[in-house]
Amino acid sequence: MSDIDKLVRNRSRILVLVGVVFTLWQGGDVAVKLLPAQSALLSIANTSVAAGSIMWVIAMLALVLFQFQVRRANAVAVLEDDWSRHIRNKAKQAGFAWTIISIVIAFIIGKFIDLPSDPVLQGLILIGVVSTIFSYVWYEGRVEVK
Amino acid sequence: MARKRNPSLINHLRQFRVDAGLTQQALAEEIGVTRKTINTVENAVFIPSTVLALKLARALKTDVHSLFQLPE
Repeated sequence: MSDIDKLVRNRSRILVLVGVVFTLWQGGDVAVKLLPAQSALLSIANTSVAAGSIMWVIAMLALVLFQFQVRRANAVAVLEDDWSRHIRNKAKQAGFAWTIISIVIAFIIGKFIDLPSDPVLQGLILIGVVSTIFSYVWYEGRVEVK
Repeated sequence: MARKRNPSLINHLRQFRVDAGLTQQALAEEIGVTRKTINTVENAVFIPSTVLALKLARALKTDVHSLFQLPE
């Protein structure tokens, strides 16, 4: 495996980390806002927020370290090549589609029950961000044709 | 998992690359892209940009039309 391949692999790993941690942090926060005060799940949601926020700092540090790695390897342009831009565009399209689907679902649910706007909007942002990140990783990791 | 191949462009990249004695990695390094870009172009998963097609043709000492053609 070449140095560039290793950097591509590391990029995917860091994106997975960022996606998972962001989900823990923001998803937990959405759950805290939506759950009733006496819910048994509240402690799990609070733990998720606490763990996620700490891990977010670690994920950002990993991202900064990765950027140093890329610059040291003089690989900024290589990692931003045609294929990378192509799958990034596809990931943005996928993220947009998931967000629209989620908005429609929230809209329909809102017809039957009273949804609080703040956590719902936060949840929609979370879905938009995370679906884009994971779509990119999925496209990047698809098995190559020999 | 098999990828959907794009039928709108025929390419002979693999043949030219092998004839030039280059691996996907070597060709990728020569034109400054990742090996995956070469792999996906070769396998018609991805249609290259004009700039990338020109770089590939230059690296393989041929012209773009020899590498890529529209289907009849």
